[in-house]
Amino acid sequence: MSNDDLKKQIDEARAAYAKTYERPLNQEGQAKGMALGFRMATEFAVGPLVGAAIGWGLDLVFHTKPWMLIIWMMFGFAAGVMNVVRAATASQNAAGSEPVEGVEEE
Amino acid sequence: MMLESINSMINQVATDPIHQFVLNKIADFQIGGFDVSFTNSSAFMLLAVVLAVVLLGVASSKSATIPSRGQSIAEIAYGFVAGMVRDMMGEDGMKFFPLVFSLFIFIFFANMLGMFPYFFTTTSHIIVNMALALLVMAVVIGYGIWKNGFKFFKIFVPSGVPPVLYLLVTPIEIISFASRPLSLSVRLFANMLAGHIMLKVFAGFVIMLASAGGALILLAPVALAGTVAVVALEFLVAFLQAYVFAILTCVYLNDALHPGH
Repeated sequence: MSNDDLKKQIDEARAAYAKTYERPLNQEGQAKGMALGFRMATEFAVGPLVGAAIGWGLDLVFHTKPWMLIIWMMFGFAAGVMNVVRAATASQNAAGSEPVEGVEEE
Repeated sequence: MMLESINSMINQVATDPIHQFVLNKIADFQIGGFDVSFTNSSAFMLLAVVLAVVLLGVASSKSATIPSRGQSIAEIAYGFVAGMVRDMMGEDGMKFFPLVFSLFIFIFFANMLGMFPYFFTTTSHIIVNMALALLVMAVVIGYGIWKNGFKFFKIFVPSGVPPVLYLLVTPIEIISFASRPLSLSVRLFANMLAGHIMLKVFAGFVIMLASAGGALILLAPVALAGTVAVVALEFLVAFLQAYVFAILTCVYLNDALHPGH
């Protein structure tokens, strides 16, 4: 076997090793990303829901139908956005990168 | 004729994706007019707890210097959760480690048990997750008030805001706080429910296509491959959701430990 052949074989083996070695790392990153995605989706959706529930309850108590529902749903929307901003800021800080400019650090 | 009726029967039983979530009473109990029967859901909760206790007990019984396979799995689980608790709450957060570890292991075992065919997935019923989430919130509020007294309520009135804006900010903060148990429980419930329905529907396609006759039978392997892929995804989700629940428990407990952040 010539020197070049051996070199080629070594390179091939290294490439194969790198390929198999890389995969679990990628999968872990993907899993973390998925976890974050699931989190964001519910963080936001839950805000208006809870706001509407509180507003509906207040309407029942104070007989102010439908104003409390409307107002608290808007509050809920804002709360949902704030939840997402907080989750995103937290995950970014956890990743070790700089916090996004203009976003207040928690 | 006979074959047809059997086919339609199989189709109905095998492709009803909701059937797997039906509660069956195993033993009937009534306490003070409340129905507290032991159901298949209770049975699998119990199984998850017993399995976790027995497996971790056996794994940690020897505590050898050179760990066996079981012991190293238990050690990895401990290290994983302990690292998470320290990262999120600091060293003084370790007093909550038993709570976080129990929640993580229970949800993880319940989710994984749900991956066995014909097993019941307890976490696919929102009331179970809601109970767990409310337990977390009760600890957050209880410990927060006990430790910080009235200062705990500062999380509803963030500092550095012009006083007029409190009219806006405080309701938003209250909603944000009240939405936590809901977001915790809905996420786990929705993922498990949707995943198991998807699995059932994909698996149902295999039977439907195979029994449809003609060229459609050629499509059945495609659906089967899809089912295998979904099973893999579901194993990932089962772990992931336990992880997300545990990490958010840490995030919320951190508010009770260090309010005003």
